[in-house]
Amino acid sequence: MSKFLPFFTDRDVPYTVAARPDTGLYSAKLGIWLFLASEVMLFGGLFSAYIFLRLGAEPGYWPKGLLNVPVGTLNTAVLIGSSVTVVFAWASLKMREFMKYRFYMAITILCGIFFLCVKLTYEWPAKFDHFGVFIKQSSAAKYEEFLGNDFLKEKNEEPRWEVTGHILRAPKGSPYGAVAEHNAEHFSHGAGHGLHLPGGEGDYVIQLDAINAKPNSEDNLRPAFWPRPLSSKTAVIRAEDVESASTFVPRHSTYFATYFLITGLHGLHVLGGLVVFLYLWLPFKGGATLYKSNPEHLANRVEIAGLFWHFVDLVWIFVFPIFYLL
Amino acid sequence: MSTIDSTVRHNQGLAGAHDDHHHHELGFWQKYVFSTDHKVIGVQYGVTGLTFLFFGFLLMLVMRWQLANPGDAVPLVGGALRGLFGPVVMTDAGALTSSGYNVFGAMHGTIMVFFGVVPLAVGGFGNFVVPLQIGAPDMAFPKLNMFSYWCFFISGVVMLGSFFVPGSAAKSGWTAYPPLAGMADFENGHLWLNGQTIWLLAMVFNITASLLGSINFIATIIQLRAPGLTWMRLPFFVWAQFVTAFLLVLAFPPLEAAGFMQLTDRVLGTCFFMPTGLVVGQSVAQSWSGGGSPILWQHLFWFLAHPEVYVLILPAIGIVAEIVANNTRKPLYGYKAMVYALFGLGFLSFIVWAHHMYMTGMGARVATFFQITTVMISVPSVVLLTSLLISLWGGSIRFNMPMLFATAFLPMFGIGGLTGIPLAFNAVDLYLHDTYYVIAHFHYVVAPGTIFALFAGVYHWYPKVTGRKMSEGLGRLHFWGSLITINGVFFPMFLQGMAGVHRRWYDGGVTYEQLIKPVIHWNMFMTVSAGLLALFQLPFILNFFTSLRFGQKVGRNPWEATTLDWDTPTPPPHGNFDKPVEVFRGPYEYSVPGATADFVPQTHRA
Amino acid sequence: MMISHDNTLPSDANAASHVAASVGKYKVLFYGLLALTVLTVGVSYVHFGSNFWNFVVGMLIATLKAGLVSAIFMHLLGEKLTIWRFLIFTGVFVTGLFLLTLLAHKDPIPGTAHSSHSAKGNWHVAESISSPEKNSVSTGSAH
Ligand code: HEM
Ligand SMILES: [Cu+2]
Repeated sequence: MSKFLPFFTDRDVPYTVAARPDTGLYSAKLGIWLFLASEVMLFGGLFSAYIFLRLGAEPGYWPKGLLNVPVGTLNTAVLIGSSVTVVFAWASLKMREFMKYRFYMAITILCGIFFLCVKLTYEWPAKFDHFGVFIKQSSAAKYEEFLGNDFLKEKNEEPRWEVTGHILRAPKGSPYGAVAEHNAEHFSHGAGHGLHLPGGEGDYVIQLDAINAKPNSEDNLRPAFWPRPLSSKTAVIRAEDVESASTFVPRHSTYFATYFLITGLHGLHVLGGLVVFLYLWLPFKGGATLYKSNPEHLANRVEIAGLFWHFVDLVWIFVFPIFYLL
Repeated sequence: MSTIDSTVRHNQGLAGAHDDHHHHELGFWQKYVFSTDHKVIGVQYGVTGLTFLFFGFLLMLVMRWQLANPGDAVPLVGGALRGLFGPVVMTDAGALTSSGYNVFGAMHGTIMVFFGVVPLAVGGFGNFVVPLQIGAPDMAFPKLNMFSYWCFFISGVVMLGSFFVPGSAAKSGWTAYPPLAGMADFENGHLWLNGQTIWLLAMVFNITASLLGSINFIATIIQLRAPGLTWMRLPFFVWAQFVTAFLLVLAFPPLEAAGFMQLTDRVLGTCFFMPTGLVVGQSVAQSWSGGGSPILWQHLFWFLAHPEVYVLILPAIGIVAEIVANNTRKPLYGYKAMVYALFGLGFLSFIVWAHHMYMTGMGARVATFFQITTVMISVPSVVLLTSLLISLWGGSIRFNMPMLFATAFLPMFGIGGLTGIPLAFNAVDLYLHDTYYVIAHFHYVVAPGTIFALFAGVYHWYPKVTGRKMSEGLGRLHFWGSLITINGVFFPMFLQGMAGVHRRWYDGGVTYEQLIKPVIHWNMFMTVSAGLLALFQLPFILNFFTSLRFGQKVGRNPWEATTLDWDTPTPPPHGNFDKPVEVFRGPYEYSVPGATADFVPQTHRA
Repeated sequence: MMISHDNTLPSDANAASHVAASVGKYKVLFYGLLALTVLTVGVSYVHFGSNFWNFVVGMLIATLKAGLVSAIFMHLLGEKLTIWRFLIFTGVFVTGLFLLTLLAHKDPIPGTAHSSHSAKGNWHVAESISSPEKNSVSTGSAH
């Protein structure tokens, strides 16, 4: 490392590799656990915000079933897999099997990259082009055919105030005009530009999600595993009946705010882990090359990075159910 | 394993004890700027912290002027301030505006706490002294240590830079309460380039620096103690830093999380802290989804900020303990009880935070819980203070500069602590909350308390850092002047506060003159005292710089102290110790019957 | 006990053989975690009477998974006392953060800003509200 960053010359401090007898630890091991303790508090703060906001949300304002469960499950499995391979990588080093180390580490890195790609190229973008309109409670009766609140009340379920789907037309001056135009073209494919959209300048026109297209269906009472396709039905919502409207971005609701903040921060952790893994995998002086001079030191480094990686996995183990499933 | 064995191994890192490694001379940049040596980093932290303390104090001087002479131009420097800070903060005539008062107030609080006291007490003294006192060649992670300082440095530059963005720096207090803080400072239409947003960014850097630093402290203290230096032989200062570091590691992250949330509230339009139906001006705010909770911010903020007050005070108590033992020439009274009290304090400080939130409408059950824990936490505090007081008993005290400040610390901290007890009870606090009584209470803890202890520390360790003592004459002028004037600043605040004078009033209460008539005249007295207090800092500044050249030269152990920091060459070289370190006894073996000298160093073989 | 002073040797003399023996354990755990993931997804479609109980069941499984990861992958089971000590404190404080904020949330004085931080109406309110104006938490303008 010091080859690249001349300023980083180190004092010769004891117990960087060998353990101190009375604690049984080398210093970095202690350091990483302290760091993880602070991470527990960091994510603890975020999760307590989740609990606080969710419990504080009035009925009908905490969306459910908006995320893609199969994809989430796949990503969970991938992270678990990478946790195993990183342990194998470390074990290989301990047993002084260098080629195996490189192999397992490569798989770990690929898993991490896969996870991030799914997040960034599929999951998040799929949210960004979805749209939701919260209807004022005082106007909800007008939109009963999309909300189905009589049905929900009869079933003793929470009310629904939101209409979701793809936006086809946004009121004049709305920041979502461009998205709407793009969607409208897609919606009318074949029919060409001339397709007549319902509604006027002051309206939101939404191509409905299944749940709003048939709000009185018993299917809606159970969460779906496979995401239901968009219906071809549209709804027209007058701007003055709208409480807030946005694509599924952080500002949409406290639900998406917490979702994006927590998964975003988690994603940054994955990225950080990947950078470290790459460093340890490539022939850097403090990375894979270290094997030649001091394999135990490299094993320690992999152990430290691995501990961090397991923690990232561990956070995901909680993130997955609280946002995707419950 | 034999002790000799472990001594040798522990000292593998000694300068000169190895020759197989890089032994080239370090260049200027590596030696003094991007240094990984804990002593250099300690000095960097210390000097930066001191500078920030004086800057924060100067902000307050301007505010104090405004409080006593509302609307009048600041004398002498009004024009210059107008030029420097711009029209948001100063009028053309050179008087502080109401926004300017908010800016200075928020920045005073933020800078004093996060950029002044903590960097000096933990980053400065902790870095310099802890490795020396435990007989280590350096911190456990020297690079991380350097990284921590530069992270802090960036946070300082960003925070100071925020004075110069459109609309000036943050105005929402050091507590940054939403919903106000969530929507303040957008007048100029900049999403990022505005006071409150930059405040949050700077805090994220600051918190990161603190976290890295404190992880390093804990690892160092656990891993690098010299052979024979068992836990109960640690100097009390090391214990204090140890517990402080734990408070930082565990309490800061929730605030970092909250900081991220407020940041997204401001730049992404989320509503973590923005409630539904918020009325801004005349109408319900429409542009956001609502559903958030301002109370959530308060919980996360105070989850840090209460432990933070112990972060401000524990290192100070540690410094005072060292100096008291050294200058009474007696062991500390109740050393073990003090250590346990530290842990009690540390533990309890995590479960008292909502005593800052009685006004939020919490119900009786929860308020009772927090009242009980708050009252409980006063017990270990009293154990610490009483032990220090009893330590004075029967000693033949040397009143040198460090000891003067340390002695003054005790009653000042006592006043601060005892006036806090009424605030623990919500019935009383509902009245006193947000009045100058509270301001007086915590300033007695942090100003004549912590700051005095930090001065004591500067006078005490200055010789170790520089090889020279600071002047006693200038020191005494500094001490007596500061002691008298600082009480003149803060004592009348109790009177005003009990009469109902509210904090954060920018006109000193003129608007409510009829209500606070009997106490409003104190404003002038306090402002004059603050001005004099500023004058009495001049001897210190002079002393600090001139002693570098003209101070009396000293050897290894000018104070005849027992702990390891005084068992090194002065100033300590790269790697710290010039002989293998092994410890044979407790930290404060002064006036041991039968010993030849009145002190027995920890390295003295039995 | 012989302790190595050499910075190139493992801290534990027989570490390598130890590690080799554990590899099988890691494999089993991998399949176990996958199974638990499937279980989490599965039970989320079973109705346990109320949302609350579904949440409890989900969290129990997640905690079990987290426990396994930390105990075995992160070697917490055989970890040194020093680390356990401060992890226990961390656990206590993070629980305190959860529970106490929750408690404060559940125990407001009625009618204060505290209890109406989300003032969107419930069924009863919704029916009686005629104007779109909701109860409001008000604050002055920014200055
Ligand atoms: C000795 C010099 C100091 C003086 C004269 C002084 C004076 C004051 C005054 C008058 C206020 C109240 C302003 C207002 O509410 O309008 C204040 C606020 C405050 N001070 Fe100081 N102070 C000093 C040192 C310190 C120190 C050393 C610290 C912390 C370590 C500190 C931390 C604070 C904080 C946190 C606030 C609250 C800021 C806010 O309202 O957001 N002060 N100070
Ligand atoms: Cu407090």
